Amino acid sequence: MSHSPRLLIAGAALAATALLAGCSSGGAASSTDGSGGSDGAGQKLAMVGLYAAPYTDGVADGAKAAADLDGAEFTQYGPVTLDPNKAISDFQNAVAAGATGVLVQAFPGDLWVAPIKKATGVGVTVATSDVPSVGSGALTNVGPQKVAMGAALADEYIKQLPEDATGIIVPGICVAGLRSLTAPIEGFTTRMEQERPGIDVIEAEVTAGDPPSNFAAWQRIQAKYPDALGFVGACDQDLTNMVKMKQQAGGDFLIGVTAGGDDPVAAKSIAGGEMVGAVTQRPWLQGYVGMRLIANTAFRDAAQPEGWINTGFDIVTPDNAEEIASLLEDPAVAQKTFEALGDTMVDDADALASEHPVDYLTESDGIDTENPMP
Amino acid sequence: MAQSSPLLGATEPAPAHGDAAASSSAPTTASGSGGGPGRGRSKGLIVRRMDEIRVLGVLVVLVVIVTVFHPQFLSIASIANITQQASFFGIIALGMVFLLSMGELDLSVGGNFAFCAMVVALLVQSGVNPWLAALAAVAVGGCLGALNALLSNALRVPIIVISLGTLAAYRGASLIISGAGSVSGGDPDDPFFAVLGGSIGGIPALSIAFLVLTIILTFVYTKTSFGFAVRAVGSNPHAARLSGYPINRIRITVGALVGVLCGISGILSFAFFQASDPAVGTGYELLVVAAAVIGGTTLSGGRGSVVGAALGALIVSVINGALTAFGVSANYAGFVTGLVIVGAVALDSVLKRRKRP
Repeated sequence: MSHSPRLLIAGAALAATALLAGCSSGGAASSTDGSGGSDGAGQKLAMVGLYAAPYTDGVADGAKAAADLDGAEFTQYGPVTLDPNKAISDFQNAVAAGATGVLVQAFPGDLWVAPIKKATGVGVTVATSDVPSVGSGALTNVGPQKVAMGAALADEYIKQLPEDATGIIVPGICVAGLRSLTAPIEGFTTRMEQERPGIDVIEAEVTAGDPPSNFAAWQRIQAKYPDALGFVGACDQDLTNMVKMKQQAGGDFLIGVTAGGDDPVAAKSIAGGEMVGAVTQRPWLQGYVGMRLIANTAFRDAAQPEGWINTGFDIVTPDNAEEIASLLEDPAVAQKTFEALGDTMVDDADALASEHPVDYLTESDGIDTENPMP
Repeated sequence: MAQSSPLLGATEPAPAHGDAAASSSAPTTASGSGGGPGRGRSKGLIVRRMDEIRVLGVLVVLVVIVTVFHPQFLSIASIANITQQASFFGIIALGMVFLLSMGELDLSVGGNFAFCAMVVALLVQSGVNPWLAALAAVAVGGCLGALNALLSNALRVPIIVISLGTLAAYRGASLIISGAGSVSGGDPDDPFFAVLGGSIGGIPALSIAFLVLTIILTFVYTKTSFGFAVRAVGSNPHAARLSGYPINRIRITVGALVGVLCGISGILSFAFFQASDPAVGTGYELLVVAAAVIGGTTLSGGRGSVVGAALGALIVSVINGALTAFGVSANYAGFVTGLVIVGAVALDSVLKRRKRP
């Protein structure tokens, strides 16, 4: 039976595998740059991202820069969309493929505990970026103070709202209940209550993850609250959609996002002045610090710092949008901006690493935590 | 390559029609060209299983190719990973073979899986014995699967239409009961986690469960009157109805079977991760159908292979593992998997047209 579907499928699968085998050494996701040292020569380092996004790519750029310092091979993995099972599969496959160190955006943290434990049990060094996995064996976590991000954005709103202003501000969240999204909104709400008691930040409306549905959601929300003083988003895709929503609605309400500033195109759009601001979580710095600490442990037997290292964030406003967009666009600019700060953080990592609070993402009294600046 | 007709086989002794329907190219009798009866039976078995053997061949060749470039791909740890990753959606694919054989498709399996995993996690967190919690979760999964079929019967629409709604409803329900967050709990040293989430002789318990279920469901599909009825309904629903098959009841039973397998996979997921999250099982709809179709199950009904689906799941998992081994971006995984599915469906359609008189 020469025309069996399985036989022809086999051919397709084998051809695909051969093609990928042929192109993998030059693939964009994998690289070895021998410009640095050689402690990691012949070693593999990897990163598993949450999903494909400029933010994730920025973290990978920083991690690659750190891997290059040791001459290690670096590969970026992760699902295209939010898919924890796929992310964990990629992590397991990376470990099986011989990675000696892996930087992971471990969402949801609980689900990663067992796989990371298994990997660290066989000697793989694992650290987490952004989302921690407490109790997993990934001792180091790097990332910004999420609550402080929202509070800092609220400060930008407050600059434009009179002290006696009254009304409501409507938050929107694309994944209801997701800690890393609700925490900045909590920070925003708390700061607004403190500084503008006449303004009520109401319970968050649910938007959507995919851009078209997200835009439709913001149109619906604006129509539902036509007299709102402002709206605040929590997801990357909110940024351009909220600008479009405001342009179509034609109101003078305020808009801003407690994320979104990691996409250079979106960051540039803030320069137009439609938006109060957005937040960039310094992805390059997260990746650089996280991977350098992994390399120190994996290649030089240094003890892995135990705790959370605050890599900070920046508020993107119309005044600095172009400047921040340039460092998001070009890893070389990001390296020039953040490398020295990153090296300092690595050198002082043991002192900087703070004990994981019960939930550092939502620790309200952490709002005024110092935001390290380059 | 005449397609076997399960319905015609209904008048024949069960073993003959059972095997015939298990493979598209299988003759109904073992004809030896020489040698004794034993040799003839062996040859007949090989002929009947030729499709599965080819899929197995594909799997082996894939592994060999990857191993040539990356020897560690054949390490015990790597094999354990691949079989374990295939098990989560492969177990559900075993049930999907039954549903596809009836000409039906359930798109809610990912949501059902997530809901069951969340049910067992919440019950364990609240102090319920893990084994009892697991039983409850499997029962819930069965009910959700049966609900799809019940609604399909009541509204007289295909299950795929119902599951377009329930796929969101089931996942939404897991968000609601979990408060949209992860849930963990239970004593890691409890035998439930140690056995179901651990390994036996270096082989993940998940993979062992996958193998055992493959054997059981292959028997059910090929050797029982229920399996025969499933294929008969898919092969020619009108004739099956005239022959007295209780089509609605069979549909509910198969829906429940798929749901039970979602439940089993869900509890195994919880046992391994010792946690659950509403986002688990995202995209399983695609992987489950991909595994079944790559394994030789037709979307139009009447024909399928449980063993093929298991091998299909392993192929999907190997492709993903190979992409990682080669250091290729995960973006290619979806692309390659999608190409294989489209190719399988297109070829299936071409071959079917060729068979028509």
